Amino acid sequence: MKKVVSVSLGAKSRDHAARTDLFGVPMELQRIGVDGDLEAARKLLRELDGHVDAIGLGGLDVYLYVAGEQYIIQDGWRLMEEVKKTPVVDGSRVKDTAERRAIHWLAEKGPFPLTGQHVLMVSSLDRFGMAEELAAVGADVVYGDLMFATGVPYPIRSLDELKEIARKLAREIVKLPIHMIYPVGKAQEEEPVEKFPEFYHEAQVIAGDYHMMRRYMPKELPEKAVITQTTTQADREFLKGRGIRWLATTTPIIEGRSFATNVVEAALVAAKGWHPQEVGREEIEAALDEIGYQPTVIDLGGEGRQAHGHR
Amino acid sequence: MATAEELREALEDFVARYQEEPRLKVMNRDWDRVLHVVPTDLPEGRFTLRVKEGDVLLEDGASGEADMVLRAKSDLLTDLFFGDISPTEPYMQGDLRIEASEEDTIRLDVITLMIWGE
Repeated sequence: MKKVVSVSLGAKSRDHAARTDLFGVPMELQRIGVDGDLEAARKLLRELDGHVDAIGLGGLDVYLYVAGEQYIIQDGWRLMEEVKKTPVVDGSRVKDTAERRAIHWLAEKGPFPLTGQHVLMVSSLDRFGMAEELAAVGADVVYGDLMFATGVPYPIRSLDELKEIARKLAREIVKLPIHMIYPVGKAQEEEPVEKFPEFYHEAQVIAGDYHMMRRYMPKELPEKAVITQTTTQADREFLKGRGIRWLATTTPIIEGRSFATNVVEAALVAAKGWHPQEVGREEIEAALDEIGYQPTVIDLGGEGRQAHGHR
Repeated sequence: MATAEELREALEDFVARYQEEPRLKVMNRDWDRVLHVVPTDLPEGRFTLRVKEGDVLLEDGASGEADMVLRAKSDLLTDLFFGDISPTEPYMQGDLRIEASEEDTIRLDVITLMIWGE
C-alpha cells in the first residue's frame, strides 16, 4: 500500500482520506489542510518527509507555466524545500495537461457551448493550458488576472496581451507573499465580496480557480456555466444558490472519486516510482488515458444530475 | 548615497515612462493616491507623486497627508525609480518600507512592472 499525502494551504474543513487503486497500485490518500498557515505547512512537511511515498502540495501553485516560461511562486518553493527525501509535486503538470483536454472535450461534447461565448477567466496565469485552449476553441475570453489578483481594473482581452503582461509581471509577482495574490485558508470560506461584477454578468461561462471566482462572485448568476477544479458538496450548493446552471470540474475522477491534481501527480509519482522531474507531458497524457480522463459536468439546475456529452 | 537631484531625475524618468504606457492611465483611472517618497538618509530629497484620474504628477517636498509612504535609502529609491531594480525584493527584505495597504502596495508593484518589467 502506497501512502500519498496532500498538504494544502486551504481550509481544514475540506480534509478527507480515502483508499483506492490508482494506476494499478493500492493507495492510501489523505488531504490535510492548514488554513493558510505557512509555518504549520512547513512543520507538517518536515514530519511527513521520509515517511510517505509521495507528497502533493495543494491550495497554491509552485510552478506556473506561461507561454513556454516557467515561473516559481516563492512561498510554494520554500515549502517544497522543506522536503528532502520524499518526492513532492504541486500538480501543475497534471493540471496543465488535464485542463487542456477538458476544454477540448467540453467544446466538442459538453452540454453548454464554448465557441463564440463570452468567458470570464478569473485567473489564467495559474492555468495557462486552459487559457490557451479556450482561445483555441474560439471562446471570447476576458482574462481577469489583473482585476482579481491585483485589483487593477483592466480586463485583458487577448491571449497575446496576456502573454505580454505575464512577461512583464509574473517574474516579480511570484515573489510576493501568497496571501497578497490568492485567497488562502479562512479567506476561502469568507462571505464573497463583489468585485468587477459586470464581468461575471457579461460572461456566459466563468472559468478558473474556484476560490478566486467564489471570493468575488455576485449573488445572482442565472443560467451561467462554471469551469473549475475540485468542488465539495458545499461548493456545489453555493454555486447552485447563485443560479449557476452547469458546473464542469476538470479534476480527474478515478473510481468515482474526484482528486485534486496535486494528489493525482503525487499518486503517479508514487505508483511509477518516478522522480518528480521525470514526469513529462507524454507520461501525463498516458496516465490520463489510463484512467479514461474526461471532465465532469453537473447540471445544477437539474437537481445535481451528472450530465453527459450532449448539446 | 544619491543626491536630491539624482532622485528627482529618477522620479522624472518614472513619470515620463508612466506617460509613455497608455494602458497605465486606464489601469489607474480609479486610483487617486498621494505617494510620499522619503529617503531616510536625505532629508532635503523628499518628493510627492500624485496620481489622479490615471495621470501622475511629481511635486517637490512631502507634506500633508499621504496614502502611501515609501521609505528607503536615497540610492535604493533612485535605482528603483530609474527601473534598475524592482521594488519586490527590497520590499520583501525590508530595505524598502511601504506604509500603505496591501492593495495599494500591489498596485504600485504592477505600475513599476508595467513600465520596466521583462
